[in-house]
Amino acid sequence: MKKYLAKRVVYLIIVFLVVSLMMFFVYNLIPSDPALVQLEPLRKALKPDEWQRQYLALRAQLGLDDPLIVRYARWMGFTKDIDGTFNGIFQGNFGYSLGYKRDVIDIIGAPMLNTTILNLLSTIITLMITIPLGIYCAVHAHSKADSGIQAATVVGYSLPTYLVGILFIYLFAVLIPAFPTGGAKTPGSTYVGLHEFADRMYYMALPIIVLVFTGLAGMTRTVRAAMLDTLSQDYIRTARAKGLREKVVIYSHAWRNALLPVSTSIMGWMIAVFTGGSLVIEQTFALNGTGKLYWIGLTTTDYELVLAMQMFYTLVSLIGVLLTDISYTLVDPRVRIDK
Amino acid sequence: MKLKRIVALVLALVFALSFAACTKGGGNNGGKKPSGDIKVIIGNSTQANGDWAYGAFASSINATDQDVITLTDDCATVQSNENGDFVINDSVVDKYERTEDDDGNATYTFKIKEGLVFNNGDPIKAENFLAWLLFITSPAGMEMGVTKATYAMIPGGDAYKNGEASVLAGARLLGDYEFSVTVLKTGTDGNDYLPYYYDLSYAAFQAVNLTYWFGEGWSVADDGEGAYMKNANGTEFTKDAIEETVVAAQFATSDRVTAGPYNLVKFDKTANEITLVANDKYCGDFQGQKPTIKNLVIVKAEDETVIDTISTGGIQIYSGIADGDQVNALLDLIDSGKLDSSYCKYDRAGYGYFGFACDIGPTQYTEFRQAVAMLLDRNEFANTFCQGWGSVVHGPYCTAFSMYEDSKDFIAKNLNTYDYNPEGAVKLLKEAGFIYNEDGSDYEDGSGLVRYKRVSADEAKYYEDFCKTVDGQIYMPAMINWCSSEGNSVSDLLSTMLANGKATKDAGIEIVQNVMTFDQLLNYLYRQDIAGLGGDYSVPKYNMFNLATGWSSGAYDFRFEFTTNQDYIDMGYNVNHLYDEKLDKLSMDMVAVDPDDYDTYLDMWQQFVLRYNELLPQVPLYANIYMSVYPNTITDYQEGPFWGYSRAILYANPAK
Repeated sequence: MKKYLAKRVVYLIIVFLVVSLMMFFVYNLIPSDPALVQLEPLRKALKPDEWQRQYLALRAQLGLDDPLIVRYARWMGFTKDIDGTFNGIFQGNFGYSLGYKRDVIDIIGAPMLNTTILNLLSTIITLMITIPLGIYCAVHAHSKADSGIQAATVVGYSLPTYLVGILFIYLFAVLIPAFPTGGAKTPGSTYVGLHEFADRMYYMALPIIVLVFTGLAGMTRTVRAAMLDTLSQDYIRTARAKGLREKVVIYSHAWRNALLPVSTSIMGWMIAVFTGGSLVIEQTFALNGTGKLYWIGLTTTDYELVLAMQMFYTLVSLIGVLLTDISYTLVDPRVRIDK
Repeated sequence: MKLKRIVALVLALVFALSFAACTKGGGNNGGKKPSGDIKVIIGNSTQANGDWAYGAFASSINATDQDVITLTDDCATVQSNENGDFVINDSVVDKYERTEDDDGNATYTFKIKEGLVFNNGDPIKAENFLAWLLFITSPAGMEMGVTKATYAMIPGGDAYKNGEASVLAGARLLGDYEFSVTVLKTGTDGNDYLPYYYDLSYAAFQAVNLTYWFGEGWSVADDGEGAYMKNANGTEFTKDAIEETVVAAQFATSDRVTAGPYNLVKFDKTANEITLVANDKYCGDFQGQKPTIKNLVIVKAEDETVIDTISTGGIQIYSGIADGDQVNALLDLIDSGKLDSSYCKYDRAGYGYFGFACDIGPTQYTEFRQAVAMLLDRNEFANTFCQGWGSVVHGPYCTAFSMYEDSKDFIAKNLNTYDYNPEGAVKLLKEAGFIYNEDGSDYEDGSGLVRYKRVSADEAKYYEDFCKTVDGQIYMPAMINWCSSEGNSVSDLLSTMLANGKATKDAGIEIVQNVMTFDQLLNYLYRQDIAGLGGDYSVPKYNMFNLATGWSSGAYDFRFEFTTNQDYIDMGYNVNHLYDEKLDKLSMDMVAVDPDDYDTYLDMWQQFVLRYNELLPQVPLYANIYMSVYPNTITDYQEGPFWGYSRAILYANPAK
């Protein structure tokens, strides 16, 4: 196990480095110039020669005239920065946001918290609904209930999150004013403790409901398909022939085997949701999340911010894949990762 | 059965949590009356960055940050009134004097009222008004990213900025409550700063708390040579000494030491919410006005859901709504009584337009530019785009300016409105010489082909790829290479009504739309010859751009915008590349008059507008009428073109 993990971590680092190199080069191909952005306000205030002098000095100060590979090494923290210190990603410096005029690390904290809470809760609730529902559909395959659920999931699958968000706001915030239309807390409230938590949850309820609703269809169908496949296996027939109770057949024999493809799907889906998948929800409900921050970074050409977030997403994805592989051993005793 | 129970349990959990919070947390603001002091929730479409530094430093252009700065830091010697005019702030200034020396340099001397205090009780003295100037002109300020060359207009500014002098000679601390600042007639950058019609804007100094911004022990001193920053323990005013404190003050999320009408209680980054409370130590604005609305909350508004949020009380004040659909939806809600709010409306201090590069291709000919303007029904365009909430202007002005008010007859009598007139456009094209086919034969009206004009090699410069050469003669097409930004609804409508309009094609003009990012558009507009951009934008390529312009104050200053001086063109001025001596001179002379000489100023303003209208470097398209909605829990709320919510709320009162 340890050997396997060590090997996977090495792979993970290699993939991370390759992705970081590619990302850095791609973003630096975009015609944008941090020195220009910084000095643009002075353009109309300085004579062209003076402006050009300051511009070139700033480019040198920022190290923009060096070859891309040298800049990449500095950005990662492999070589010394212009100021003579190691000050890159590996030293915890994720860059400087030109838009926010702050270190990226100082910006992403609050959005990260929102996105994590939003996605964690919606994921847990979605799984709590979809797993039993998927199993039920598979066990009662082709029944009226199954057909109805299948039809509903097709509709749910086809509806874009944006549309569901707007529709739910209209239904549950305007028509039936049960929830607020957006935001993260009661404006101006100074609640503390449990009261504050309850207030935050109240504001997050509708976005969570929308995320759960839009996540139901896909995961229900995945669980159903995996279960159907398992239930058709010979060992299930054998189990039933042995006279085992149906619940034992389904939950002990079928479900554990069906979990393998399901767990892969769950992890893939979770990674997608965490790495910007809630952008639309954050935008619709005026929530300050990482998806929205990423979007702002892209639209304002704040590429150091975007790059840092991209690397964060890369890391989350790689760790997610590793966890998925490890989780195989938990759900399927046939899988041995130490061999 | 068990499955049903699990599903029911989960749903019950979600809803129970929500409704529990609803009852405990106060729930939807729409159904809740404010208790105690009145609270107003303001929606802003721009997400706050939380950068509270003043303009010259870090150049925060975030609209919400700027509003918060206006609401919290508003103890300045000069303010802007509801018409956008600069006025002395009588709540702060006890005595003001402007003197001029023989060289034409002006000195602004202020005696500050005694008894003014910051929100923490610290007294406000003359040094507090000089400190920021000393910072933004200092080597420390420059190193920390000051983006304004204020030093160039102040005597001794260059030496102070470069660290060659320890004092800023042009700034003087004359006593505890008295200071002066001198502005050079001609700055060290060669620019003429005086006379200037809006020169009172030079005398706007904001009071800042020295301890809060720079740390313990700092004061402003003057030994007779000029003002300078001095620390009680002898520390030099360097970046290393002050940076940490400055950055902390710049991005503080609470407890800011300020002297404006409101105090920042908290900037909640997680919720994207700014909470402000009235500052009971505020001295009042230039009219002595103090806030009576005690609590303000600024929240982020999303365009897609803002009407629903307003209708449910999540947002109570929403300013500057330009979208006709949103305006009409809100009016319906108000008229039907579903929304207990009122609204005010006002003209936008700006306009949308498409401009030409007047030095390449067919747009270098005035008649051609005029013809293009006549191929677009601008009234219809403004109506469609603004959905009835907009109008058309015929020159570089907005209807909010007093000059416009005083020139209505002049404008009606003298300005060409370039009404939709395809026949007239064809006539102008012929006058401009667009009378050929691409093979040099005579153009036949109604042929559906693109017109050509016989031009010299010099005229065809940068347009060679589009020109045809027949028997040694160069023919330039009536073709516009249009640079438009992506996701732009003005571009979409222009494409439909002008570029692909029947009248345009019938007239023999082709407009090719090139969609790109806004950054790229700006690179082409400014013809950036910049190493780091990875492309050569300095070679003129496009000759039409659609943009918008606006004024944040009543200062109408077009200096250098039509300059013929190559130095200034290289600096990014005159993006229309219209090299007209008369227009250039008018734009420069117009503001170089005595502030009291309104008649001369007005006369030159009219001549400038007339010349612009004749040469037509830009075609104004629409000027929005903005609507702002506010709750009926407050009265006396009136926004204006130069008077946003951050100003209007000061004059609002709780409804009885």
